[in-house]
Amino acid sequence: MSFLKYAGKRALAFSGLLLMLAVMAAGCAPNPPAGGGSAPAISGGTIYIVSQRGELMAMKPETGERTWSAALQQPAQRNLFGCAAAPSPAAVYGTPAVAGELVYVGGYDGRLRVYNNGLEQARYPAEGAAPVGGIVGSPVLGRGNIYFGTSRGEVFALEAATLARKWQAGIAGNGEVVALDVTSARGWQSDGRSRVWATPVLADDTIYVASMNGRLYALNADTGAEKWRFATGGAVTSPPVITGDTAYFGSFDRYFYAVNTSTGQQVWKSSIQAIRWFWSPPLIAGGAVYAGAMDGKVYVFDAATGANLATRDLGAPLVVAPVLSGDSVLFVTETGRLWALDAASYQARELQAAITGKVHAPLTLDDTVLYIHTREPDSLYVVRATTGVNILSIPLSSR
Amino acid sequence: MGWLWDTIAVGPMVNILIVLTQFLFGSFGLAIIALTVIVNLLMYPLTKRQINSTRAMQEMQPKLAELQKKYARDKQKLAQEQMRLYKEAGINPAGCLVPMLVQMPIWFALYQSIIRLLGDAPESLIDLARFLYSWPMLHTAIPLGSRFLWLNLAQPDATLVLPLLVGGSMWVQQKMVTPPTTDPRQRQQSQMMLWMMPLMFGFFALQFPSGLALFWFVSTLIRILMQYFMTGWGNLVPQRTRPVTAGKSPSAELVRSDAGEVAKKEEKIAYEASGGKRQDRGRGRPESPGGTRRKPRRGGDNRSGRTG
Repeated sequence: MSFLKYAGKRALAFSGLLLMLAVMAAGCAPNPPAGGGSAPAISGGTIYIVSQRGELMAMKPETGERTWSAALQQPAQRNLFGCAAAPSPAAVYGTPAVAGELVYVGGYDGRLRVYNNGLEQARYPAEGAAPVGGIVGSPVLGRGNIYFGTSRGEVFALEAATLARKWQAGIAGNGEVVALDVTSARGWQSDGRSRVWATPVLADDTIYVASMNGRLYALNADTGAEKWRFATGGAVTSPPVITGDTAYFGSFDRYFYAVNTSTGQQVWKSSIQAIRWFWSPPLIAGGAVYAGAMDGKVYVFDAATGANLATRDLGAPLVVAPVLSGDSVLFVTETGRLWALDAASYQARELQAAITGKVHAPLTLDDTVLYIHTREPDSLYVVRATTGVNILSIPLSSR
Repeated sequence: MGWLWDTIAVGPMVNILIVLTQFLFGSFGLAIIALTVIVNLLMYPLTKRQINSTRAMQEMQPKLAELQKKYARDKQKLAQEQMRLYKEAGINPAGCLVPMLVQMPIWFALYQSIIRLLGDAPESLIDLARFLYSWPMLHTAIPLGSRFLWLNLAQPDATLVLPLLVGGSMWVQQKMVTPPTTDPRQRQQSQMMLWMMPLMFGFFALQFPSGLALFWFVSTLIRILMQYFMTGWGNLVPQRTRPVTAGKSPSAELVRSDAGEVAKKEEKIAYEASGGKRQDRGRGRPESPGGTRRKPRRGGDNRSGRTG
């Protein structure tokens, strides 16, 4: 009775308290901090991978034995009361770029770090400077530079050896590409739709950048000047795959596109529309385009005409690009199921790989060995590409 | 269970928010405001019932206190008398809880849908995809623009303006519904509630994406408006008493008084004088259209003995 009596008096206040408690209990607090999950890079007989706890590791492919590791920490930020929170791990989504002994890692905390044998050798922006937008795609090495895009719609070209800025461009709210100098870069703000999450693609003297404002840009790789842009109806998170003079990519408008890389003109647009987004890049093999969508289906298009050759349902969202192994195109669903599509008949068969966890990180194929980085648990699975037999599973975060 | 909740509650809200964003000039901030207003309007009958029940319970407190004093040693008799009192007044003690419990899932769903749409990490966007219906406009609208006024809706408001608005508005609402009391223990509890909620949500607004803080602020504003039109400013505006004692200096004519205490004493006296009939305290509420509500007593009507 006394409960009812008091509840009546304070029902509104009580409802607020209940709301808060339920929110906590239901775990519906703001989205958890970015978790990351990079694909492994394999170079010189070493695997380089960043765990979900922001630990960059170099390990032996045969055994998973770690040769060195380094923790990517984002600096502690002072709050309003001047207290500094503990440094937290930096999330990494992109594949590390490796050049000899140097490993370049782009962090979602807006910092590009360079490591040499486990020691941080350089960082952009420099220590103490404000970070750039969160880096999601992989940094790309070429022409003596390292290129990357950010969540604030910025595109950077830095000198690979020194991390000195060669040029910086920003994608404005109206879709224009703006050259940014030191002063204008400082006040640069994005409208939230111009994010560059796709890994930039370098081909000759052009760098192709896909933006979540729905456009694909071709920029001069040496100056950042815009050559052309092509607009789709939805956001683009998948980097284009360039074959010959055609760029292939899918969009959030659920259509798939082929664009001429010289003119920026549309070559074809798929006649069928996926049920959900195209998130990841396609694979081009044997004159066919294999595109996985988040509706769990693989759409096979004729590379020349865009005609739909086949559609296969793999049962769960596809958020990572397929890889080609022999005559098979390998897909891994978000739920960790491994499928092989015959490149001749487009028939799909499931390989019995024992993978648990979510697969969001791109796949890495080294000859006949497939590397799959999963979340929840944070593990690296080493799988025989032809059979799906698990060779090794390496826990990353618990070690 | 989670799947069911997402399908029937969060999914529809997520899709409605995206559609609203498209119709409201691509502004997610306006969409949050619009949906908060719509949901509040739809739940108005429940809210009204809740507020009325709460008010009725508040007004019954002096009688309940009397009963507690009277039957302090006989719990069974106390319970019987309390039930009799509720029955006579036509009040269901759970009347203010039921509407609240019905509204709670709707607020959760709205809260969660805003959270999902504000996620700016890749995994958040991947997760969002499963909530979207197949309507073309939904797919092309993502990602939503995060700019609204001076705010980045996906980030906490570093200017402190929104956290202060959240805390301030909650304090006002809390103050309106806090009943005056002479019981020191209850007063202490009321004071704690009065400050705890605003401080807590103000602090949350510092930490959480400002889109959520915007939702809290707009919800609270609507509740304040509803509360005002149904019960007036409540305990927010202190009553003034006008002493009429002859010979007092003009400067002492208008004196601020503890409205709650005065009202409490008035009610107690009126209760005793009327042989137990309930009197309306009318603490700053607008008069009802029928003119049946009494205005608060002032000046010479003040029988509390306080003259300033």
